[in-house]
Amino acid sequence: MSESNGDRAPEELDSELLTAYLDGELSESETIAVERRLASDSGFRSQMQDMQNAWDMLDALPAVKPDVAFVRTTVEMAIAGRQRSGISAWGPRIIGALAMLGLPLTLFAVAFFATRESIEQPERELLGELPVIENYDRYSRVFSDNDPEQGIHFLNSIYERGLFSEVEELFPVDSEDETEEAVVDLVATTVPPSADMIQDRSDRLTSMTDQQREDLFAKKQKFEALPQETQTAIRDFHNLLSNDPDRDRLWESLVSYYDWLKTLRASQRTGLLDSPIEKRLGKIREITRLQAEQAFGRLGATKLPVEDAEAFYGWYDFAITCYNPEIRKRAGKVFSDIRSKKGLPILEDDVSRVMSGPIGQLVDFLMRQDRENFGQLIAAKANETQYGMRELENQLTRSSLLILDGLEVDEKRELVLRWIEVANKTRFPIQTTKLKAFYETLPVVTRDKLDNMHPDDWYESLTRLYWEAENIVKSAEPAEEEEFRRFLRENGLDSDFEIDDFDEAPY
Amino acid sequence: MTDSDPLEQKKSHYEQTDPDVRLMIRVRKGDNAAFQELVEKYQARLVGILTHMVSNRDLAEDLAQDVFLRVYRARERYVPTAKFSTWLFTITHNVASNALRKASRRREINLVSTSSSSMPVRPLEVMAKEKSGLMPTRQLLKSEMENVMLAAIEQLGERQRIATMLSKFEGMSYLEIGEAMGLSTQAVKSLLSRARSNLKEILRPYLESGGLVESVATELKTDQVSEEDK
Repeated sequence: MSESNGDRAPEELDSELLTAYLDGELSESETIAVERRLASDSGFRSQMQDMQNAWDMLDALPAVKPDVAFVRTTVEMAIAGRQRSGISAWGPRIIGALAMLGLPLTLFAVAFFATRESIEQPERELLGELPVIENYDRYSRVFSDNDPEQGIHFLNSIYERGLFSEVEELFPVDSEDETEEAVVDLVATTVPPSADMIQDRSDRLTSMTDQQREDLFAKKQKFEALPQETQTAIRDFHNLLSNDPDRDRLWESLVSYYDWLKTLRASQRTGLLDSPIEKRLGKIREITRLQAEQAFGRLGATKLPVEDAEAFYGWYDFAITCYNPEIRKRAGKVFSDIRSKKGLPILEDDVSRVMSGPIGQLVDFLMRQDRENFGQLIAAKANETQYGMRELENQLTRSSLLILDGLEVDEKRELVLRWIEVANKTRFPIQTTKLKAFYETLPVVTRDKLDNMHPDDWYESLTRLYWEAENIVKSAEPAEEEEFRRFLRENGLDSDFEIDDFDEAPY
Repeated sequence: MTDSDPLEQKKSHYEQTDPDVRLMIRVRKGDNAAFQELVEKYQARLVGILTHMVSNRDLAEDLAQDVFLRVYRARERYVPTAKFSTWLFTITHNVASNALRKASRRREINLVSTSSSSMPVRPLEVMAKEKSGLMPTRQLLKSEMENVMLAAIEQLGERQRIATMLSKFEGMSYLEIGEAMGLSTQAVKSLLSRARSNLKEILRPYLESGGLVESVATELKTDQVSEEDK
C-alpha cells in the first residue's frame, strides 16, 4: 500500500486492497487494518465475500489432461532437435571464423548458399513426400504398434459398419474440401513421382501462403522427429492405402474419423487411441450414439431436456418401427388424395411405389403434408397401445414431465410433434452437401464469424442458421416441398406434379 | 566469485530450495531422464493454463510442447536466478502471447478476444438467464458449471487470464507473477484486482441466485459456503 494512490476511485482502491488481502500479499499491519474494517463495514465485507466466491468458482474449471503420448513425443522431439543442431552447429562456427578473417565476400557467398539451401533443399525433400507429410497426423491416429495393416483393417471396419452416419453432420467440413485433391495425390512413395506430379506439388507449395508453408515445414520437422520405425510404419501405411483398390472409400473413412476425433474431449480421444481395434470400434459406436442424442437434445425451438433425449429417441425410434405399416399406408393415402385433388389419375403402381419408399422420406412427407394425422398416429392413437404417449411419459424424467404437465392436450401433442421434428433431423439428418451449399450462400461476414468458432459451436450455429432459413422459406413459400419433389423425382413421379400445383395446393 | 556475490547467493539459494532447479541443472549436464521428469511434472499444468489462454485444447498441447522444447534448447545457458516454475511460466507467457498475436492475425482458430464477434455462441448472460429463469433454485450440474466457468474465464483479457491462472492454480506470489509476465508487483496487484472484480461482475447472476455457489460447494465437497452466501 505504499504506492501513490493518485486520483484513483475509492472502489478501485478497495478492490486492490481486498485482492491483496485475499492473496495474502499484505503486511501484518495492513492485514490487521483490513480485518478491522471488515468487522465494522458490512459493504466492504460483502464486496470481499463476492470477490472470494467468484474466485472459488474457478475451481469448477475442467481439468485438462495432455495426450498420453505427450511426454514421450516431447522428449523425443527435444533430443532429435539436439542431434540436428549438433550437425548444423558447424555453420555458425565456420561463418564466425570467416568473419574473423575479414572475408566479407566469402561471408556473403556462404550466406547466399546457406539461405538458398535452407529454402530449396527442404522444399525438394518435401515434394517427394508431400502426401505423407501432409497426412501423417491423420495416419498416425488409425494404427498403433507400428502396424500399418491394422490401420487399413480399422478403416475398412469403419466403412463397413457405417460408424459415422449418425453424427456426420457434427463434423466441420474443412477436411472435405481437401479430400478430392488429396485422393488424386495418393501415390505410393515406392513409385517415383512423375514430372507432372512433381510440378503439381510444386505448384501447390507455391500457391500456399507463408503461414501455410511454415505450418507444413513444422509438420515435416515433427514427422522427422518421430522414431525411425514410426516413420517407416507411416510410409508403409500410406503405400498400403495408395495401392488399395478401395482407397477412395478408405480415404473417406480416414477423413471422417480424423474430423470426428476433433469433436471429442481430450480424455475421450486418449482413451480411444489407446484401445485395441475392436474395443475402439465399440467405443466409437457408443460415443457417436451419445453425440447424436446430445445433438438431438440441443436442436429445435422447444428444447427437450438433454437427459431425456435418449428416452425420447428410443421411444420415437420404436414408434417408427412399430407403426411402419401404418406410416406407409397413410403416405399412400395422402399421395392419392393429392393426386385426386389435382384431378390426376391414381395409378396403383405409383401409390405402391410411394408406399415402399424410404421410411425417412415418408415420415418427412407426412410431417409436411399431413402433420396433424401423423401426430395422431404416433402419439394420440398410440394411447391404445403399450408404446403410446403414456409409455413415453413413463420414460421421461421430471424435467420433461413438468413441461408437459402444464399443457393442454392439443398443446401437448403439438410439443411432442415438435420434438418429433427434432428427432427427424437427427434420425434423418441434413445432408452434408446441403449444409455445405447453404454455407456457400452465407454472406462473407457470417462465414467469417462461423469460421472463428470451435467446431462444435460452428456446427451448432450453422445448423441453427440453416433451420432458421428453412423455416423462413417454408413460411414464406409453404409449397416449397423440395424434399418431396426430390422423392417424387427419384421415384419417377415428378412429371405428374408441376411446381405451380404445389403452390396452389391448400395443405 | 565469492559467497557475497548476489548472483551466486541467488543461484545457491534456488539450488538448495527448489528441487526442480536441481533437475534442470541435471538437464544442463545432459541428463535426459531429468528432462523427462520435468515434462512429466509440468505437462498437465502447462496444457491446462495454455488451454484457458488460447481456448483451444489441441493448440495448447502444441504450445506446451514448444515451451518444453525451448526449455531444452536453452539448457546450456540455464542459470537458476529464480524458481524453475517462474522461468517456465515466463516462457509459457511469451509463447502464448505470440500464438495469440499470430492467431488474431490469421483468424483461423477460436481464440478469445474482447470483441463481441468472437463471444461464445451462448454468452454467459444467456446461460445465466436460462438457468436462473427456468430453475432458479436447482443446483447446476458439474458439466454446466464447467461451461459457465469456461465462458467466464474467456471473458477476461489475455493478461488478466494468465495472471489469474498463475495466482489461482500455481499459487505464485505477485513477485513471481511479475517476473513471469515482465510486470512490477504493483502492476500485478492491479491486474489481479481487475480480474477479480471482472469475475465478480461476470458471475454476478450466479452469485445472486446462489445456484452455482451451492453446486460448487456440493460438487467439490467444500462445505464452506455459509447460509449468508446462499
